[in-house]
Amino acid sequence: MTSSPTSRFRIAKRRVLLLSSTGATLHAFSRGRVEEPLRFTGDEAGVGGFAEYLRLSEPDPVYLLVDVVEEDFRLDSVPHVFGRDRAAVLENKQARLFRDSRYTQAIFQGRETEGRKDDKVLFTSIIRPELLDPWLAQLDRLKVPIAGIYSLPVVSGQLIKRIPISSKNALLVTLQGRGALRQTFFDEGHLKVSRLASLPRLEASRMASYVLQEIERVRRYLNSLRLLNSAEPLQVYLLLHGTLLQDLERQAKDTVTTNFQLTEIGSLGEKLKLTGLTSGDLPYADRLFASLLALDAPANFYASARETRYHTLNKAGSLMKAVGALSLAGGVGWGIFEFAHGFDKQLEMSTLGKQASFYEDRYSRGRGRLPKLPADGNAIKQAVEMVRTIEAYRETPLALLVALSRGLDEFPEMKLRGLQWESGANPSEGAGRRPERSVRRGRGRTTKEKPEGYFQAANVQGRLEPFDGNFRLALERVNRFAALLGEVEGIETVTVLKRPLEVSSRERLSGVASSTSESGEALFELRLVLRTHGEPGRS
Amino acid sequence: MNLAEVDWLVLRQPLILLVFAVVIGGAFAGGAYYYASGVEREHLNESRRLTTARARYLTLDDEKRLIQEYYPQYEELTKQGRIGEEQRLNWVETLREVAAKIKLPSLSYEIGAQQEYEPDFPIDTGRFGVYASEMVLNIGLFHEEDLPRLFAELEREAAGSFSVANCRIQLMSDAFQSNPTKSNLDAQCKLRWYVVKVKATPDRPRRRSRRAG
Repeated sequence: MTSSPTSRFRIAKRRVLLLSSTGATLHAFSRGRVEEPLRFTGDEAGVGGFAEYLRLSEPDPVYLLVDVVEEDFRLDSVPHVFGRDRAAVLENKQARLFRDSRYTQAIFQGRETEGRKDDKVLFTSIIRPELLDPWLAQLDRLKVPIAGIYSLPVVSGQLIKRIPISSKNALLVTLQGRGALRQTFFDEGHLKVSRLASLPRLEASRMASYVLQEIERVRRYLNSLRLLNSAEPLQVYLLLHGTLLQDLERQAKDTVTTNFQLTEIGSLGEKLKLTGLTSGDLPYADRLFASLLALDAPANFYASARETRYHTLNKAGSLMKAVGALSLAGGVGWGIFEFAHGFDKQLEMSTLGKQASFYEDRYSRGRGRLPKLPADGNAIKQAVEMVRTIEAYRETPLALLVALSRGLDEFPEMKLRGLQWESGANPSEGAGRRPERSVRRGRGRTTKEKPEGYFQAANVQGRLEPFDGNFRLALERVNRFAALLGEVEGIETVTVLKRPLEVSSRERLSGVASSTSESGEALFELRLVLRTHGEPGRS
Repeated sequence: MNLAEVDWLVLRQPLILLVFAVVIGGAFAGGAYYYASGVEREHLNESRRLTTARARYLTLDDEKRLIQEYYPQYEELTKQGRIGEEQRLNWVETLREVAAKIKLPSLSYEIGAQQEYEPDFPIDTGRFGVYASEMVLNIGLFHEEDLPRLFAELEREAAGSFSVANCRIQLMSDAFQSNPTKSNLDAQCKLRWYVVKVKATPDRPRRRSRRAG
């Protein structure tokens, strides 16, 4: 192969190893170019050559595409179950269907329309896994990552999706390298049967008729399997190239049972935007399938986790490198951002410092012109105002004594014996006694003795003199005296703490009723509260 | 694939690269963050410094006005013993002079130690605090009017501010003594001498405190 065709591949380096019963062909795709295929025979020399190639080449991932006669396809149905049950059913089925189930797979293809409505499953298996062993051994020995092991008929399903097919069924016919005819039958897009037959050595002119005979043979086989509907002819899609294609175009005639669609591989490649799919006059489709797999590789089909472990590790390694690169880039990016931010702030800081120094200097100069003070202006002002407040709340008994003397002027018979005076925010505190009765303030008005503000309070003890034993009169005089004091300006409350005679039913009462001379004294005690700050009824 | 099947040789290079990249990237980012945080803190300090300096500068005129208005008063109140240190010697001398002047039959005093005082009336404090010394006077009164005269004379003559906290007045006998050297009334009064001065440990400004004294 001398051409150097190009193609479009999403992954720069991929290698497809097309395995057949007689050997292997390696298709390498690098940086959008399809390199010349390398062929290795299935004998010891071929495998050795393959090992040498692997040793000398980059450890790019390898996709194994298996195209062997020893791949079996069985259509079956299994109960519609899930999870572990499904796995167990499939495993059991595969064990029964295939002697060696190392490379087996199950493809679900919908459900039966009748009965239990079981799942329709296509079981596939490489019944001679040892065909792969020499190649896999070399790959494993040299730690070459295996991306997966794929079945060529299964991969050809991708082609069916890309070719516009109007019919329900399709038989895809291709010629494979090393002289083999691959016929794969699809029903409603689902792979049902695939057959690989070796071509006998024939003259080129007889090849077309042989191919048509083989197609008819397969049609009859499909018919026997009841895979064909008698009302619909079999749609045969022949993907070929060169003289054989031209011969078939002349010979393949549509019949009631068979319709032929002949497609030139090169022109199909153009539709699929793939180039370099043909070589000379050769009719083979190997490159087409290899390119399809390299272009859009599905998930691994046959390979075990152990076989793909180097590919998994490589992907993990790539992920690590990507994460590392991102971390490094992120760290450096973030660092640059932070450094830039810091530099900006540092520049701003320099300006701020200069401005602050400017104001501090101005302030110091201005302050220097002022006299030396023990504190700043606000504190000086506060100290002065504190003294003013203290002065405002300065208390002496004078105000209350003046109020008391006004009352005494009106009641000369009231003689004082003692007085306890105090000042404060709460006149009931520290007085030593709690008020005992309702308080009269002004005419006919009573309030509770718990005023708010600043107060002077005094307990005044006195007696009526002279006293002739007339307690009724004495009580009246004391009450009037208290009422008069209550009307003096500033007096908040006046409370009678002690009366000349306790006439309340709640009090114990005793005395001498026989003689007025021994009637005792008419003693009383009053409590006066004078408000000096604040307004009544306000806190 | 379990861990035993992992070929660590394959992962060695990516792992080393990952660790290297994470460490380098982290160190670079961490160092930059540390640097930027430090600069940010300094920037904040400088910003506060500027704000304070600007505010002080802008209030300089106000301060001048306050000083011109209040400092003479402050000095006067200091001389009067209402700001600064209390003047106990003056109080004692004044008590003696007043007692002689109004001819009190007897007068004794007892002054307690000065303490920071929390007034029971609303007052704004800040750098300055209220300090008070309690003075207990035992007074023999010839006449009840002697007591108001005593307080009026003290207010006029003594250095400092005082307020009478409480007084107890008792008639000594029903019969009035006409001898002016003899007491007719016995009084005991507690005075609080206030002084405003800089607190030993200034606290935060307290607004309109109204705690019980």
